[in-house]
Amino acid sequence: MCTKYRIKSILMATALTAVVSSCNNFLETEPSDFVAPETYYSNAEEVFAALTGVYNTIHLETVYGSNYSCMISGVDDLSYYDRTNISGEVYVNDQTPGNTILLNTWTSLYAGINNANLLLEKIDGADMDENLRTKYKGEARFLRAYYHFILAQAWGDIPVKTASTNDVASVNTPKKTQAEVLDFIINEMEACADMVDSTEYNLSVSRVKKTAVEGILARVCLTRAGYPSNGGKPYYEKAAHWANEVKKSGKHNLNPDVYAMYKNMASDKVDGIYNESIWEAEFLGNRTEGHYSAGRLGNVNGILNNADPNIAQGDGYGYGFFSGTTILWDLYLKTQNGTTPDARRDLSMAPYTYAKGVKSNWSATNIVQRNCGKFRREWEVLFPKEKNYTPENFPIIRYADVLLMLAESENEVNQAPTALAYECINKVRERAGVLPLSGLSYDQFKQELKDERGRELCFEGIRKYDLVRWGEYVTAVHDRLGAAVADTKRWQTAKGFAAFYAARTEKKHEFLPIPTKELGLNKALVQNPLW
Amino acid sequence: MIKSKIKLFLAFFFFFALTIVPMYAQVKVSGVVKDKSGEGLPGVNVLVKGRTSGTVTDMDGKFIIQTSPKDVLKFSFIGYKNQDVIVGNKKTIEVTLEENAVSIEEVVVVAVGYGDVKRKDLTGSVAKANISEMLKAPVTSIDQALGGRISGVRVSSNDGVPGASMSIVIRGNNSLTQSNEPLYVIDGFPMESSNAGSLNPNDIESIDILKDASATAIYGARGANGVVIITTKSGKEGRPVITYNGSVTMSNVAKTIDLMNGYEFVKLQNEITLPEDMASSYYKDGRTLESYRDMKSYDWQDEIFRTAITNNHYVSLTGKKDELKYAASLSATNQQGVIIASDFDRYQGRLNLDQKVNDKLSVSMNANYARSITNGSAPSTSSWSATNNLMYSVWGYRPVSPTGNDLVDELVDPDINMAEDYRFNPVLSARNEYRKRINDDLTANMSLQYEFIKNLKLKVSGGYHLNSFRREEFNGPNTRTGNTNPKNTQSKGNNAYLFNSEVRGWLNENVLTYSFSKKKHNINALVGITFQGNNFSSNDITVNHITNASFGMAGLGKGDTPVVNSSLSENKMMSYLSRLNYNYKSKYYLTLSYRADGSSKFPVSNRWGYFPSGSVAWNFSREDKVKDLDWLSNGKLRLSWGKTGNNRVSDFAALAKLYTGISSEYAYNNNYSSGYVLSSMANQKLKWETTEQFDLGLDLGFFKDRIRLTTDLYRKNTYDLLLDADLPPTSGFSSTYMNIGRMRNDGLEFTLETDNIKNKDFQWTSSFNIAFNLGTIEDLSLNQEAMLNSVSFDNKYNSQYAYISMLNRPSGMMYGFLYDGTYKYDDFDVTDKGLYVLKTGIPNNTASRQVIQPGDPKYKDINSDGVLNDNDRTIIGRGQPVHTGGFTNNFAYKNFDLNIFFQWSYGNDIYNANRMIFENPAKRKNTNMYASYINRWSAENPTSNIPRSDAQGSQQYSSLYVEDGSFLRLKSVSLGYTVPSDLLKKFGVKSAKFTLSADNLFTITNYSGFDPEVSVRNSALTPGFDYSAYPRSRSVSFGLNLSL
Repeated sequence: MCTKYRIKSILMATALTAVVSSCNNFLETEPSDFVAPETYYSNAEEVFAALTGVYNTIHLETVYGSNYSCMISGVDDLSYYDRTNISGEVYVNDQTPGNTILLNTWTSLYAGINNANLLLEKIDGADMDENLRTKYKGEARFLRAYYHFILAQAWGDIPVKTASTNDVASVNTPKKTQAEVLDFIINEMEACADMVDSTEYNLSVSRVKKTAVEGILARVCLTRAGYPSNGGKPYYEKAAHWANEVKKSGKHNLNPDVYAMYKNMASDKVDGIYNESIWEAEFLGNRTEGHYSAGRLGNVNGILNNADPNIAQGDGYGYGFFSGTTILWDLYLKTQNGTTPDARRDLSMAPYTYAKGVKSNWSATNIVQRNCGKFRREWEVLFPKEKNYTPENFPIIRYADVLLMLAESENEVNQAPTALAYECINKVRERAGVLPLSGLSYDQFKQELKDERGRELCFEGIRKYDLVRWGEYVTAVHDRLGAAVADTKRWQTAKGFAAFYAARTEKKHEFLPIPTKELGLNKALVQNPLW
Repeated sequence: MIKSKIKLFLAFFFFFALTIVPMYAQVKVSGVVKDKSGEGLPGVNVLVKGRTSGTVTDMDGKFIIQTSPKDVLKFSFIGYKNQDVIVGNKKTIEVTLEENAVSIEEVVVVAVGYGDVKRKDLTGSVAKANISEMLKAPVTSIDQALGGRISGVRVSSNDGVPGASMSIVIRGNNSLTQSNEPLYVIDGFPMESSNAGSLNPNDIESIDILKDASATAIYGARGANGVVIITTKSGKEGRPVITYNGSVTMSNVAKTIDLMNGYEFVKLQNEITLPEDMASSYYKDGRTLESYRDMKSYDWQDEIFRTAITNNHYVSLTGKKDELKYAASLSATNQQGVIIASDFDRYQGRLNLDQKVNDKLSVSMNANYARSITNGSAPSTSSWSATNNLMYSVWGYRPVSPTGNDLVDELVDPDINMAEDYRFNPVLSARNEYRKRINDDLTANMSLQYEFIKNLKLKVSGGYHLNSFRREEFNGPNTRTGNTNPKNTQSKGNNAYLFNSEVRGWLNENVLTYSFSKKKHNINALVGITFQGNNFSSNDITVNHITNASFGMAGLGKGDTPVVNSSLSENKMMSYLSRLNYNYKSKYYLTLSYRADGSSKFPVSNRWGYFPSGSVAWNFSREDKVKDLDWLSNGKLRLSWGKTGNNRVSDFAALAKLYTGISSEYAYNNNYSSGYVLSSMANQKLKWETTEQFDLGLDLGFFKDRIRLTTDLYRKNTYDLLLDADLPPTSGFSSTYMNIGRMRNDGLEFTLETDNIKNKDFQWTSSFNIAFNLGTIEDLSLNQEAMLNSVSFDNKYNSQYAYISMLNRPSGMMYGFLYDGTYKYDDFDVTDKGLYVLKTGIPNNTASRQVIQPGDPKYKDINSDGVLNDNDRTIIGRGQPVHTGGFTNNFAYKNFDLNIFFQWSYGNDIYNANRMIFENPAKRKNTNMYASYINRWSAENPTSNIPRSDAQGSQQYSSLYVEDGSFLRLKSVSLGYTVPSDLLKKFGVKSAKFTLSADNLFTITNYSGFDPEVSVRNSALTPGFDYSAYPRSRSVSFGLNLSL
């Protein structure tokens, strides 16, 4: 067919009879190894593959694989980046707008938004079951809103994109205030709550289901209620409503073993009984088996392990970048029940390290040496363990968080803790073997709740944004962490470099700078005012 | 094995020869042709007038021809006047040819694309390579000999990998992100990538390089980077000639790097290792530092480099029978690399036939086939850890072993941490990592030429090109990624990779030419239409954990689920072309050309590009008043203007793409699901990149052309730059192809050729060329002020920008901190505890102030804000040279000839990234360093500006590692001896010549690395980067040329 055409064209040529119309036919070629958007999205299978493409953003190294989950979000008062001599990086609050981690994450998230936009523009043309269409649409809309949310959470004011980009002339997009962005997100997510699936909670935790939408909505509303959007009470009410919807659904419970969920996430298991984990970023394999999903969880935020002679078959390589602070330690001291420590202490702050591959316990005075212990490569079951890439999942939202959000918003709405608020916070405490709370004022409850969130959710990319919305990020990091590091009796001088991180932290670090590349090319955008 | 192959080749060859040797019988006439001095003139054409049969004279000027008494013999020879002799009854004829007063300009013919013109009639800037001079030292590919020969043509290779193709840039880079390679036209077939490696240099008749727009515009949308026209030899008049050219070459690395010996190495370890660890390793069993003074220490360069042997064999048969001219050749090249287990082999054959069918019709055919096989890994390809590259292992491997084990025999050094340092026994790496690249290349062209009426000719040609490439890689248990040592976190078990690609191209050209002269008006006109199509396909397979190493490449189906990629693409092009050459009295010249190109690569609205050009020339030496000047033999002023294009984007660059593959998946509940993601944006406005070029040229010849000077001054403005232009990330894309940005190249070229001494026994000629080019970026995408680029060689540096291309500057400037020596004791306050604390007011070096100690590297705080950060990075080097050139001298004394060729580059810098690792103090334990690092800062050596052993803030691109890359190289020296023909006669040998030549004899440079001609991440944006390059060799060859 092709050859025929070629012979024909040669003949045509030799006769010198080419006319313009046939020239353009001759020059017509069709791509064969990729598809153009114009010809895709025709049926349910194609739409589902495109939806998977929208989910794909989550497992990128720049998003939950490492950058957003750890490097960008793990910058708070309960953890510090355990390396000397680090400068210019976001994880020690020394970034400039030119920082590549910021740029890459920003780029990945907007690419994910663009994929979602294109899918939403095309899905109505697909020949597919209406229920399925609604479900896929709900997931895509939710993910689009979620990507905007994690951008707004970290950067503050950002551009909102609701249409795919298909022309180089239309790339200048101005930003909206964080409040405007969050209102857009709340509207979108509220519309999605009844569109997405609400069954099979015992199966995949990486697909978005109704409770994930509701739980994230609670988080968005809390963000909207607090600093700097300062929406206040109406948004606390909304947050309480959505968190309570999750609770009322009865789909989720706390696993009595605080370790269980993290072990499951590291070993590719799904807990179909308690379903504590509501939505996870899923990672699979280690990149040597022909797939590319693997992230770096456990590798960057696990326990330092770099000289084990049996490392590929043993406990796996770990950089141990993140360690706990004395502030976190003290939070657990407060809940210590007699001599029984808070069950979460040794989960969060690993009580041991690997000296040349051999597990050895830290002494009681070694507090700030303890690496984050929630993501341990020893729990992985995939061998040989690749140096940098792991199959460990990351919890985007889990039930304990929902309970604490419900407790917090109940306290805010009523300006005093309600029975529901106590019920929620005490469920979380009880599981950790900590005495329940009662008889507190609004302020006392609020403080207990903040501490509880710290104890429960540290190292999960949530603390920084909690501190920001409570309006105490600079106080917490600059003042409180600064003072903690200065106490050289407890904070050994060998780890004293954390003082530079604390000292550097100022108001502008509440939100990230817009990447230089974006500013240079998007003429409608201006830098965040403090940068 | 190789010998038997060659025998086979020869057998075929003679079989072929026998079938074609002519038989002809009439009257036999012999004779001799002499010059004025009475010396026999070899190579004179002897033709029977009215027929096309004839012969050429032998080395003594003698000839024998079959003819009849009525015939008239015509004797012609370049540089001599033609002479006719009536045969009559003569049995012997003696002819003395008179020297022709006309200049070389008159006789040299230059290919300008779709036709030839005489050098004297050129109006554009076209350079002709001197092939015979280039071939005086043996090369496997002609482009290897092209560097420095022609002004304005930069020829370079990334490093010294055997068989690697060269990159050619003519008159500077036009494009920033796209290819700057010229268009190659081999026997009329235009190709966008070099195919010179498939040709045997001995088969090449001529190389003409079209430089200015008036010359290149006939190639329209593909001409902007210049055009290299390669023409192969066709059959010659006369009896069959069998030629054998052979050479044997011995090569060695031109330079090795001095490394620390065992003593210095242990001394360094002592500085960076805890005392208890030293006690349990290097200082075990009562050893001290002094014990290492006399211990044997390895230089692993001795283990990895070798004296390499290269063989070249070439046989050809050329001649003419009746109206059929034929040229056939076969060749075999076996080249060893100077790194063990690396080599390059090529087997090639060619056949050119030209048949005159009748007075009006003639047919030409040619075909070339070559198979090239390269073995061995390229040492500089790994991009994510510097420790993965071969030279890292060679230089970094320990010179002594504290355990006394012989490290040569061990797979890995037992004392390195395999999870962080991927060093691997380099000898075993080189021997066991199976890396093979096989390239099969076939071209076949055929053309018919029909002369309707005198000088009105139609040429219809068709061609086909097939290139198939296969890359095979296998890593068994004794390789870095294949070994299953429990410390190896990179292990993939036995693993294999196979890559196949195929390019198929076809071409049809139809060109009508007409020329006539009337009343001193000379006109030559050409119109044509051409069609070309290219299809590409490729696929690759990766398989890990192959169950048994003995399967080798056959294990592709015997391991994990393979990862397979494939791609398929095509493009088509259709063009109309026209050209008019006019001159009046050979004094006033005008050339106009116009080409329209339609390409499938661009959307319908921008599919057609139009490329006009025009040039005028004035041969003032033919003006009456000048004509009779003794000292001026030639003088021509040329002025040209034209527009040309560049279409080097991928075939479907204008379309939006949905990508699916392993990086677009997502896993749901431990199962992968494939996904589709947008990978590029549509740009319905995509079109050609256009280069507008002005050229002013002056050609002068003095004293009967014994001194010849060519100068050209040009300006190239490139606009609508095809740029992989950055987009704001909120668009969802990081870049897309756009026509955006402008580049300007201004340059001056100068070529001087002189015949210094010219007498019977001794001749001396010289040729000198120099070219200046200044490329300037005038505009970038969306008002961007600079493009920053990083170089992938190590994760620690990959996120730092190493190059900047900014407005009003040349592209590819080196970027980083300005090195300011080391911190000295004066820069510190001393605390009560004896600690050194950086004085206030003295800026840090990117590391935190409190960790900085004396001996740490110091960088200039450019904005004087007291803090060193990204804002203090600046331009620290220049990637592009200021000028380049070459200087050749040829001496001939009786039967000896000597050629000496120098080549240089001036003004470019090199990022010596090797020193960033091997003079860099970032605490690399158990790793050997360069000997230059012995002089590092230490308490005993406090004035040193080389950072201390445990320095903080040292892993930065800085001017410390930027070196001057200027060089002057004695590229080749070649001494030849031509055996006197009377000695050969009794053996039936027509001519014999012996050559002894040396390549890359010495290089004068300040560059401390292997070789200043290096660019392992070569592009317009990232030139002159050196890390773990394959070293260039120095070689000596012995060659023999025989003609029967």
